[in-house]
Amino acid sequence: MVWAIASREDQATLESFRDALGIEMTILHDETGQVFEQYRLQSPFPTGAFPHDWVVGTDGTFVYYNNRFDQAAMVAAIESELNE
Amino acid sequence: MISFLIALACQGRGGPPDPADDSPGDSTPTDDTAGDSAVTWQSLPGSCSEPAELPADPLTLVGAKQLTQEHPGEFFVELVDVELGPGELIYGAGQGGLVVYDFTDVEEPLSLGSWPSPQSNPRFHRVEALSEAVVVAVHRDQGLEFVDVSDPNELRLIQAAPGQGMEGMAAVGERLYVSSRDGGQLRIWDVSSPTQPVELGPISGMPENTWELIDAGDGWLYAADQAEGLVPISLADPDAPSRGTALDLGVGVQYAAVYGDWIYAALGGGGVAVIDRSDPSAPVEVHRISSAGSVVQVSVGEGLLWAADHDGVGVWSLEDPSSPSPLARETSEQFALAVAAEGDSAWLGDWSYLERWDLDRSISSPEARLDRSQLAFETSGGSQLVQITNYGGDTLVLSGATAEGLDIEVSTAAIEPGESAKLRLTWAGGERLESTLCLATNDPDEPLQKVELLAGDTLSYLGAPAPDFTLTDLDGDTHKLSEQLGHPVVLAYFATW
Repeated sequence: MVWAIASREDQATLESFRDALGIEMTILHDETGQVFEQYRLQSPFPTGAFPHDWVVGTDGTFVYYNNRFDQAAMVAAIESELNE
Repeated sequence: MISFLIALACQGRGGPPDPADDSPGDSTPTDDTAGDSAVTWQSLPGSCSEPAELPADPLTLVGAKQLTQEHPGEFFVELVDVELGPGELIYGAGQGGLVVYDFTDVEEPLSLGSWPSPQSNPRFHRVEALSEAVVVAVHRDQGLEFVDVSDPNELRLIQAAPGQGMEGMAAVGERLYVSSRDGGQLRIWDVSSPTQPVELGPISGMPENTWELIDAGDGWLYAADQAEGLVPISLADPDAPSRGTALDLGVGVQYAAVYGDWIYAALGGGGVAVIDRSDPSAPVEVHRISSAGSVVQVSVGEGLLWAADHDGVGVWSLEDPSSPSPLARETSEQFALAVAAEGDSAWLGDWSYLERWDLDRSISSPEARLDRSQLAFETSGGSQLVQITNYGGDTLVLSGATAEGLDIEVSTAAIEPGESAKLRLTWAGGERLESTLCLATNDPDEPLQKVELLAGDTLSYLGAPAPDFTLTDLDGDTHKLSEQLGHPVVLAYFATW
């Protein structure tokens, strides 16, 4: 399950972004930016810059965070959860 | 900012990408190191400083034109396809429309005329030149448009043809072929008179998820298809093309380029497949090469293979076409999605920039890429692996490494072009770790390569409950995080800028 979350963007921009890139995953719209803010404060590097990548484990707690896209590390975290 | 999101999307499309390495037998770096008993680990000098002399870069950015919202006509182009025009003109297609660029003055290129794409879904996906005066641009769900570019400052619509899911295009002699996902049709136009295109009957039974059609120039077309792979299509009867058996490459093919008896197929995270088409009806894969990013377009020039791979642009020598050897690569400014080769140069569609890159074949240098930016350790300590790959044309030399509190070993200190090395980092354990691996190399762009090393309370978020939320997606459906309990969820916060 992969959710891409955009904060404080407008619907039309997000739709064209999605169509431009042929993105098939679910894109959630955090219109007020509140959800992003809650998560940002949880991170070890509470920067406002993007990206913020989190993996939530099977029990609803965090198992991974990064402020740079690191596919290998993210996949390792997910696989570890699935193998538990 | 958007690169990771695309990488995730592309991972969904093309299957799990391998770590950047030619040997599929290697295990994921975060596994324990028991499987590496075959490696002779060696240490490096314990310092991390730039070598006194670095090689020159063979691949340089000589000119770039950025379109922004201030562009006259007020649209913002995110380039998805690039096509060479006559003289110094280049056509760019993307979100917002079609733009003609003039690179006569390479350092101060201009944008000339533009043709906007339909308002409701503003994006052209492909552009193809039919003649010096006419180009055709296809729009995924609004059909295609034939545009008069005889006056590059003032583009005019010749004809629009509606259609669904049209994407790949190839102009071959007096015919234009366009792939359509709507029922796997191949639509055909008679373009013997480019300003008066006439649609002929479509052919069905064609691949249904084709990203691009590539003309081999000898009566064969190849469809780069997401589901089937590479599909040969015979043009023995130009008005009744017939398809052959697909070459299944295990992942979707996004694009391809023909070089005589060879085809190079862009496989996203899968890299580039090297395909022998000496029997054009039965192409066979002989080799696969990897690139630093996700390869979405390829183009061949004079003995050179170029690739646009999100991260930037790579170039290989085709001296031995069965085994392209890396020459150079560079990270581009934004997000590379399109490439068109011309001589020793290539035009790169880099999101809002159109760039020209020149290759100096007399220079050779290494190009380092690590497979990760961050490494997390258990507080009990242990060993972790990091992989470094050389995408350049000369040996990558590791001259030193430091990481406070850790032991560092490498599988080799001299990495040949296209090869990888592993680094094994061992930590004795402790309450916390906040250190950086610094690796000294002779990479001319970034000689000091870094990886963040973490453990303990720097990872204090681990085990903390993820705040619950309910958000709506772009189609109006709601999604609640706590309803996903039981399986892992990736939350990728991103921005479109």
